[in-house]
Amino acid sequence: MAEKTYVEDIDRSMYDFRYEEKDAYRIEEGLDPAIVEQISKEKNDPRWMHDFRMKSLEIYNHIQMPDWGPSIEGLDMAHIATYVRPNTKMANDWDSVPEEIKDTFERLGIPQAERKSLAGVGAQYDSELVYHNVQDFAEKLGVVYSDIESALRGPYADMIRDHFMKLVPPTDHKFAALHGAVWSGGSFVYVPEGVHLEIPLQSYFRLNAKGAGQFEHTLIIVEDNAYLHFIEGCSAPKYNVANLHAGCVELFVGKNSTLRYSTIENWSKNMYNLNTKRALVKEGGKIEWVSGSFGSHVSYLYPMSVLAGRGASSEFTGVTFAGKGQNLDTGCKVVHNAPDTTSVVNTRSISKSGGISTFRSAVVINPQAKNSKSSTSCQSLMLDSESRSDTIPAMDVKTQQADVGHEAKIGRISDDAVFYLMSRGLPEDDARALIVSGFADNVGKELPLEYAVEMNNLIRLEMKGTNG
Amino acid sequence: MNMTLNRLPSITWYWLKMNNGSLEGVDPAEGLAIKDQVPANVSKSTLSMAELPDQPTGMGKDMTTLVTESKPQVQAYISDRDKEASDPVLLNFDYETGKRAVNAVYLKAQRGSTMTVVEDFSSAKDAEGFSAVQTRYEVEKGATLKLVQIQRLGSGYTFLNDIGGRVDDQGRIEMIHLVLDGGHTYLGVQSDLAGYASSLKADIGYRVKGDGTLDINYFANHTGKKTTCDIDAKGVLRDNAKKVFRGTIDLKKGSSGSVGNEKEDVLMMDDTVRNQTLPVILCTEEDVVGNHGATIGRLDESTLFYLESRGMDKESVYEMMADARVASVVHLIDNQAIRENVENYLAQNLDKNLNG
Amino acid sequence: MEPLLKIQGLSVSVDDNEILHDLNLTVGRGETHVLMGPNGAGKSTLGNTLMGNPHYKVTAGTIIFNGKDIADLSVNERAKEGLFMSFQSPIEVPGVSLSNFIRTALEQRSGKRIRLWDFKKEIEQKLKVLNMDPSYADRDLNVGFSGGEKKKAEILQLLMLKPSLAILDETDSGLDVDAVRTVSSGVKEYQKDKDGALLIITHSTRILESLHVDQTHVLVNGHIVENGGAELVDEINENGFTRFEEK
Repeated sequence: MAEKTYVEDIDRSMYDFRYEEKDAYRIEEGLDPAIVEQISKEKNDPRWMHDFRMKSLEIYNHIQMPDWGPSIEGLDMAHIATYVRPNTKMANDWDSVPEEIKDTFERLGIPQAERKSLAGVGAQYDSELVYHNVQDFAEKLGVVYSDIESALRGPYADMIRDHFMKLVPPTDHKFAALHGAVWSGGSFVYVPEGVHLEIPLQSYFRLNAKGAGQFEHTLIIVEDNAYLHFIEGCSAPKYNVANLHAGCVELFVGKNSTLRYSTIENWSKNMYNLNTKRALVKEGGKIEWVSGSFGSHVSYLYPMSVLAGRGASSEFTGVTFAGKGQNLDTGCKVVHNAPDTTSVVNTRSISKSGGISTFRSAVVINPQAKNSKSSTSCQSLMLDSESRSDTIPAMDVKTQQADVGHEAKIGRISDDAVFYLMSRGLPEDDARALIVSGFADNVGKELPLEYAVEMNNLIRLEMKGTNG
Repeated sequence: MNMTLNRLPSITWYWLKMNNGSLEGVDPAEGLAIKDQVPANVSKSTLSMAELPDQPTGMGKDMTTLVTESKPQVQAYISDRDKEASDPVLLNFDYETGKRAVNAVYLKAQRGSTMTVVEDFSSAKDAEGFSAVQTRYEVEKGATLKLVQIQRLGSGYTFLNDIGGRVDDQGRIEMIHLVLDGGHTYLGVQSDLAGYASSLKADIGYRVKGDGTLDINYFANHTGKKTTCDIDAKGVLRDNAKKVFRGTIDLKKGSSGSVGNEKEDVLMMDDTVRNQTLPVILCTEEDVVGNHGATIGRLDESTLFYLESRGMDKESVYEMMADARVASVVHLIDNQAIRENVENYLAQNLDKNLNG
Repeated sequence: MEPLLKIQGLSVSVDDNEILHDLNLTVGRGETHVLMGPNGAGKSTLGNTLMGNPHYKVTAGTIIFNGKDIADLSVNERAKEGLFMSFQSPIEVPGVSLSNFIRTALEQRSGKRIRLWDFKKEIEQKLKVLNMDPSYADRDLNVGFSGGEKKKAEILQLLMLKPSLAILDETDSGLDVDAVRTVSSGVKEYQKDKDGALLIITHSTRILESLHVDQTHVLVNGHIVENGGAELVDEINENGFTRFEEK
């Protein structure tokens, strides 16, 4: 049953195209260069970016759709143009935002002022003020935190050019190519050598920037001996009428630096979240991923760490909650390319009410990664028999001098635990919700308090069943 | 034909190149004459492929096609109801060099019976050739089938070892696979645990050396209630060996009360080996338990320290542990004569190369 | 006469944390020394460091054993020199029987094949001393052994390998009364056989009741705060470690 998105009525013939070749596949799913040209023009791209977009488009039109993961047939690929057309997207008014989205805002206690922007119906809201305060603080330390589009023409233009989509090239997969062609908006962060930024930077502040976050590109460069904590997303559902999110996050971690990248993703339940996140870690550097995936209809999300320098390390802590109507394929990838590197993966996943959760991972230890260690622990909780939980981890070890360990467990909520909590006065629903919160604690305890509280609220909401 | 072998029931990223194995240019061939010893309480007969019940196997459709097209005389061994066969059924596959052979075997443990079948695949040390065997089994209510496979093939041999079977209520299938010597080995096993309280115990012990390869696809398909599986793979890789182990436990809806366990332990001896592991759990039933664990690489520090503290140098510790891994699986063979036969073989054919 | 073990100015770190500071300790041939201290004092660190556990880094000082500076010797070389440690948590080694393992270790050490008959006789005799059923010899090393059985298996190895210095790391912890008695008999047998030296690391004193103690050392927070004779053991039995912790 394919879902159709709501889009403005347009004369679609403008976007029909003809190709000489008889490749029917391309004709159906291709994207017209004219659209990309228009995007580039509107954004006033420097020449190289314009060329980059066009090249990405070509790649996009040639790559196959993935067939190993959840079905994305609900995405109207035949009219992909309508997702990317500049100034499309937003529902025109608050009234057309689905009830259940408004309902969730209510239950999560989201302030009125924020609701409209979260629903993509425009109107800036006061986070602007907070955002500017953070900016000032960061600026004093030499940290750059700005929107990426304007940074393309500022003093960091060359730096951005040297890094943009080098870590996630358009050839990586179809949606990386799409991103390369139509990306729009996003953050650019630069932390100079030796700087430790004590307060976390949050992308939430920039939620209402143009582009509505659909094809957002986040580029973070942390120089040597520095520290940054970046928080992306928020627990409130982000609703968008055009239901494709093909974002890209590229993180460069310098020598002996640490970058903590936390995400709570709660895209609304009509969204296809095809995100690509990758970190390149230099000698002695460390990337810490903290990831809570709660929303979207379909997700493909595997933050990837490339440990490129001696002693580099990666830590991934994640929780995925797949409820009714959701098919979340999440996990992580680590590639060890240097000696003495370490990776630790700790994930929890919960499936409920027919939701499908798949943990998919890859740990690759290349021959030069002598004395590397990797350990993965993934636990899955099945809350009923309509749901599904799959664990598909892969390990490829190409050197003897490595220690690779892996364990996975799947099970259900213990009746004894529920009984115990109920005997202390908790109603059954609350008992179960508490147990699941406890199960998701691996992520909860890594998040700043307000996010952890929001995450637990989300869990409670999902568990109580009223969120369907 | 070009064959896709041992494909994962639930595939993953293509860039890993781990979803399945493959072989090109494989043609049907006649089977070799299996030398067998049949004990009392087991009857032997020959069947055609068409007479066999439909049964998916671990290696996949292409293998079944190859075997079917080879039109083999399927050797069938069926144990009498409610009887425990006193001795194992011994099947000796004595492969010659330069030959190609495709065989099929059918094993059925009738209701309430117990039968042990030993499939011994051997050839001269440096023999080369191609062989394929598809073993299908059926374990009826309350019966137990124990299958012991011993592979001692030459370094030039390509061997397709395919198994598929079904276990009924309270039935049990126990399998021991010993891959002691060979060239390019493919092992595919599918076990359909369909009956109530049916169970699977599988132990794989392997050693791969030189330029040998081992491609394993194990699939425990739980559809019945209270079914259990215990899959334990232990092995040693040295020189340029390459090995991939795909182990899938599928706890399907309706299999409530089931437990699936899978463990893998790979000891890598040399820096030039390559190990790929994919321990997969698929689950659509709430009331189940699934566990899998894998330990890959070198000996852990504490074990090494403990053993060295008793005076052994590192290399000796490694050799001892390598032998121990395979020995612990050989140890599981009930039948003394067969067990000793293998132990003697191992003592005389130390894995450690003369070249060190 | 040269002492068997001479530790001077030893400092040891784990993961960049210094656990032992500037330790001095001397053990003569055939002597029985006791190292006591409250939990967390660093006692196991000393045992592991002497044995060469790579996890522990010597940051200062020397360890002379048998007249040799053993700092550069690998773990198995130290074993060959005559050092032995009974592990607090012995490792399970499936697939290797207890007797095969001991025989292999002996052959490694001497470089010669061991005569099976002599070996069997000896191992059976030692098993008897330790009140262990002869079937233990054929069981896989430590696999499925209870805590007490593991400790006894360690002492069995001690008796068969005959080191000149045995470090017993919390050997009596977790054992019931009978097991302690058995382990003590085993230790006495070792001393009798070989005139072996002992460094007993413990925080309780049960195992010492039937042994003659030559010297006692008290370790608190990584420092040896007092050295004395057997009377220190009794004092600790009576009053615990409070007096020493205040130092």
